[in-house]
Amino acid sequence: MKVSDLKTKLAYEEVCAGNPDAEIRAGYTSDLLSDVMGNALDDSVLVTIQAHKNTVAVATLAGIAAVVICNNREVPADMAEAAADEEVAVYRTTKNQFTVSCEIGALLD
Amino acid sequence: MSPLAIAARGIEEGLDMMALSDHNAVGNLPAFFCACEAAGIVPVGGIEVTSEEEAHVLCLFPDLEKATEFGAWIHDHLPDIPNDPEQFGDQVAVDENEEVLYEEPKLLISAVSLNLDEILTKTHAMGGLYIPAHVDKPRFSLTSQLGFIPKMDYDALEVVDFNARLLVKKAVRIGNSDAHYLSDVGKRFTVYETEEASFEALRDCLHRGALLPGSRPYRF
Repeated sequence: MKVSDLKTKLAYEEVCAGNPDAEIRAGYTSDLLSDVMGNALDDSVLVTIQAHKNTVAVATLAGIAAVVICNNREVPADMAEAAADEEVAVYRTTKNQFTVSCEIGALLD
Repeated sequence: MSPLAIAARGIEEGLDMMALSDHNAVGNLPAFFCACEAAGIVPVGGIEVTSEEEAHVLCLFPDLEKATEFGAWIHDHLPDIPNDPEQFGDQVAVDENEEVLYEEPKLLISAVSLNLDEILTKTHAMGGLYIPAHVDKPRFSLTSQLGFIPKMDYDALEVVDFNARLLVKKAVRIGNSDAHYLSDVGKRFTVYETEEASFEALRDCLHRGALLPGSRPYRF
């Protein structure tokens, strides 16, 4: 799947487009960023509720292409700015992490 | 662990200055100030905040009023999850005579809906000190929650092990007992190289790095 599928196929709200044509090869669901940093694969989409700029820093370090913020959490302005600078896609949705993981998992199969 | 008993332990340990920093609460600070002042110990009003990232941050304030005001702001950002005393214990605030003033209904171990930066900005705007807590611990620390120590304008980093390896170039480290039980009061402490025990001297020592680690049985 492509990063842009998060919008076109799953209708998540786009906060930052990142690199829309980049390929997503895996997913990782966690709210503990130290865990994400240690275990997420390159070219992943991260499913989390951690809506702050440090999530973008971790995504950059871990090679994560896109972040989906769940449970209707707001994305603060400094997070959106950091994402734009680092070309990390950020989406948000009212759905929870389990539902989003299932939806993305179906597209990755 | 009442404020009176904490101050009494502070005398036994020969502490000149003590901070009370309950999790996300300031209700015991007035009694703590009374007890410390009676004991000849300089009190510092603090609070250990659980940020949105679930990292603990120690916020210390120049006086009781500022600490109380900040505590009210933190309380406003705690979720409405009630405490279950059977699971988490009683969350009481007491007066200087150890009489229970009230029981805090909200669960105080919850995370507030404020991130690390928002808490830092507010703390500094109120003249306080912002010290990420036990950063070398494997839980509720910057290291455990983020995997790294972000670049931010903190006043010091609290460590459990003064020689812990941290992925940060230059930072002033302090050791505190983080006492959750009376027997732990004074277990770790920091010696500040200053003539007077005051909040401003503490701030100055932190910023100059004029301090030494201390722990039992080493005493001055």
